[in-house]
Amino acid sequence: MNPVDGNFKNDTCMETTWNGSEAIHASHIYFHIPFCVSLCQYCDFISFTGKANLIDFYVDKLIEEMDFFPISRSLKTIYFGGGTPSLLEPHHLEKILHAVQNKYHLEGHAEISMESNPETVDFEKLKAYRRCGVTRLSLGAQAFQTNVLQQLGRQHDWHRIQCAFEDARKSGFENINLDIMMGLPFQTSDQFKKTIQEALKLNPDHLSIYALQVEAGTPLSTRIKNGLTLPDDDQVADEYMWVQDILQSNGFDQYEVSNFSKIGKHCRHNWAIWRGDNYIGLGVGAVGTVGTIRYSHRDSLKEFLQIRNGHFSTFLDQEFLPLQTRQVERVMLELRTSQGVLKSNLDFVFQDRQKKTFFEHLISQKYIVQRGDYYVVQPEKFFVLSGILDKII
Amino acid sequence: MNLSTIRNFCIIAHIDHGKSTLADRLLEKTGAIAIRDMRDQVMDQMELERERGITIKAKAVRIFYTAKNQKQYEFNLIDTPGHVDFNYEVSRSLKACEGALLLIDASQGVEAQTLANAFLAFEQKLAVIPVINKIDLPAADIDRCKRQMEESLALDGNEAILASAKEGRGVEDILEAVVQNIPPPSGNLDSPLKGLIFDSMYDPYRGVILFIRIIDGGIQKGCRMKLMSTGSVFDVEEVGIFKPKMEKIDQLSAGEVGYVVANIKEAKEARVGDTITEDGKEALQALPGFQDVLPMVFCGLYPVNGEDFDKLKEALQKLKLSDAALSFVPETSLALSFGFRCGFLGLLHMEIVQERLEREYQLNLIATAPNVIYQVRKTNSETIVVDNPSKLPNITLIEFIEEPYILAKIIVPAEYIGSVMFLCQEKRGIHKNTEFLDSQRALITYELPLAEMVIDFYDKLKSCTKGYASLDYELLDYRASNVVKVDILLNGEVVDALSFIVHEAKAAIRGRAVAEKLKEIIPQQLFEVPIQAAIGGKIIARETIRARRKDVLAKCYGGDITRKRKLLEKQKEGKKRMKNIGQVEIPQEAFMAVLKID
Repeated sequence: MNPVDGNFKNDTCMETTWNGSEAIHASHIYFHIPFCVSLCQYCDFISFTGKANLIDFYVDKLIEEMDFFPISRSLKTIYFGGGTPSLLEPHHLEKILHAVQNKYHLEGHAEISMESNPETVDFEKLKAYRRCGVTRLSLGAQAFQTNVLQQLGRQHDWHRIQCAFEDARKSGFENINLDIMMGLPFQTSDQFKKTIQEALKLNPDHLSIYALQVEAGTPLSTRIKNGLTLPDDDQVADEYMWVQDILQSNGFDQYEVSNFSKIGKHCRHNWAIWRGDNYIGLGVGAVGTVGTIRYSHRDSLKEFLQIRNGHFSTFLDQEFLPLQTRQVERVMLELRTSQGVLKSNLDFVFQDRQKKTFFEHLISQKYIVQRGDYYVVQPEKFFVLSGILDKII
Repeated sequence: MNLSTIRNFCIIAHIDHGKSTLADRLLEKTGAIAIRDMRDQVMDQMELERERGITIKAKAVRIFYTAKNQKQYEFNLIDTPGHVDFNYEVSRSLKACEGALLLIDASQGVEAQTLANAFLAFEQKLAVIPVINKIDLPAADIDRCKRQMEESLALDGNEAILASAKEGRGVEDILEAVVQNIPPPSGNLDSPLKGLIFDSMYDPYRGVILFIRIIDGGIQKGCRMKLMSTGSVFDVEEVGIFKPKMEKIDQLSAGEVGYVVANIKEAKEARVGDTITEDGKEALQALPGFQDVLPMVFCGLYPVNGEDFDKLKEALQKLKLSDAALSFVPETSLALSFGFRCGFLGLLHMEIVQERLEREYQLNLIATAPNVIYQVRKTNSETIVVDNPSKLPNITLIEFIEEPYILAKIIVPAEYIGSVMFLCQEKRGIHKNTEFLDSQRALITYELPLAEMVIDFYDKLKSCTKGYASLDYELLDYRASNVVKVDILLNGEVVDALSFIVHEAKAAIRGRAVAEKLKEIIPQQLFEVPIQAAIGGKIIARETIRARRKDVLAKCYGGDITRKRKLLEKQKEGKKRMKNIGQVEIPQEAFMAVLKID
């Protein structure tokens, strides 16, 4: 079946636990690269600094872990996320992708995406990445202003971003994304707009524009507790509407709450996940979902590297996803996308009188529109999606 | 027991003048409890009472005291509540006594409830022993207290016992004074049983426990007890006393105070104030009994979760077993669906009941703003009683409306007379009298609409007098008044539970203030929410809660789907404490908005 079509009731290849023996019907792999030169103020992804000397071992372990996940389908996408995946040397990448080719079947036009920090790449390295098969590069740009970048704990400036971007183009990347943040405590609205305008000058194929989320336990959250103030919701909402307008008039299609792309340049990996496809995650902290099972790797680099004889199962926490949970997640994820949610996947909503009334109200107030067999959140209402969701799940 | 060695008395005082502490000292001094067993203020049994520092239910404790004349005396100490809402309980307790210790805080002097309680004691012809307490305080002014006693209570200041219950000073003198100055009960041991039910409490295991003062005769296990008002008969299972723990005894005799357990299931079967006697050997005449206690303040109580209706009903029934003053009838609200209209003695009583329901019965409740009872004369000459603003008939059907008035007595240091009068005027008060208790303190008497007091009078009185004012009130009568109903509309629809009745002159101001307050209290929603206040069909105020503009979590990658889902579920759970009316989520406190305006 094609998961994008939305019927997930019979794609249960695993019952309740995963022991590494059965074939997995997944077409997407995520590799987590948990190494950074320094940690950003806002980041709560799993990453380690000062451990670059372990990358060799880590890469070997990732390759070893592939055997634990015998994928039966051909791979459509591969995603290197982090951390800072661009801390991988080209030979690391080559080794991983070589192993992928050996162990799995990789489609000819597979998307191979890689996150990178501008200060960690140059023309030679990018060219080598490209040669290894990477098709899509994502650059963590975040902001135009040097002082704002410094406040965030970023190690680059805009000039570095420009150089990295141009190097990537010269190396043959035809799909380049820039990550930009909004709602930053150190940035005015005008500075945010300036950032977008500067980003557009580079002519990127894709823009991910994320409103800042303050995560517990990050240095940023401590600073906020100590009095650092964030821009209010109204300001961020204004910025969001502004950005939707300007990107639309620059030929971008908003295909998810925070993601905009030129035609054909959307991130197929993320799209598959948002549409409910199975995916495998490998490496420290990585998460995967296959049918009724969601598994996540623990976050100890040391333990991961010490796994012997393929006993990866001891390093995984598994969560069983009952039908109701999968229904809820499906609606939660699909309503974030421009395709929306298939009508039949909302049956559980329509069976509840109160939820149904609310949903009808959403439609009458034009928060949600019907497009063919799908219900779609209007882009200008993406920003209040949580308030919509918590009433219909 | 020889009647001449029995003394029945209580302690009366203004709130916080040290009544419970003195009771503890008396118990400790007479060995009723060992010092190591003392928790402070043992007479306040309920957890809530202890937290709030007030006493809700009167309890009777028996102690034995060997006086200086070497005779042993049986003391029955009857505790009384101190808050103005519970005045009726004070007068009940007094009926079981021959004397009262009138406690006055040496630093505060005579206060409104000192006066009110003292006069209740005088009315019942009790022997009153004045005690000036807290003489250890640096601010103690004994001479002033004595002067005030003489001037406002006509008591001889020289007879006052000086004490510090906290330090145990004067306790011996008090015990001796009880022996000397309070008369023993009169009564006839050989006459047929006659006793007064002066209070009751409910015990989930034993049913209703009656507190009884025996006038004549005696009562023991096996006695067939008859209630004189209803004629119903109960078999006495146990009689006993509190020491302060319950202790079974063989017999309660004339002049004594104690408890009776007789398999009574509900408080209403054996009403407080009734006279008990023995079946087949009846007393000739019943005792005068008590006036029924009428609730003065009403509010709607609704479960946040509709499924809890039955649980709320059960809880109210259980509370009612021990709290005769609580009343409740089922009602429905368009906004809040099924709940109860509950009647209380006053605001404090209302808060205590609400808190007990939430704490002891784990109920999640919405309370509507309190209101008083209105007597409405309709154009067809019919008079109806309205205890819920939304039930007020259409304006065209009303001839006139009467609202309850109270007589408020406020004692205040002279420098605050101006502010108190200003407050009372603002509350539609009618000034009756101002008299000086001494050179520094005045007693101000006002007639006030009870409705004004229900809102925030007490808090405002306290704040405009830096906490120095004391207040006592009694219900006077019902008076014709120009009151109107203000409706609140959310999203264009009347929310009946938010309607309130207010004097016409204040309607516009209050309507605006409530709309503004609601705008503050109700969080931003997915959709814009207009708030309107209206009288009849006429809109008098409008506010708008703008639609929320940002709530989404921007980033969602494969690794945090579970976390996102859990956040959503948590958010959903958090909203369960809110009431959904139309498409508007309203927090519980919004229903009290009318109380929270300045």
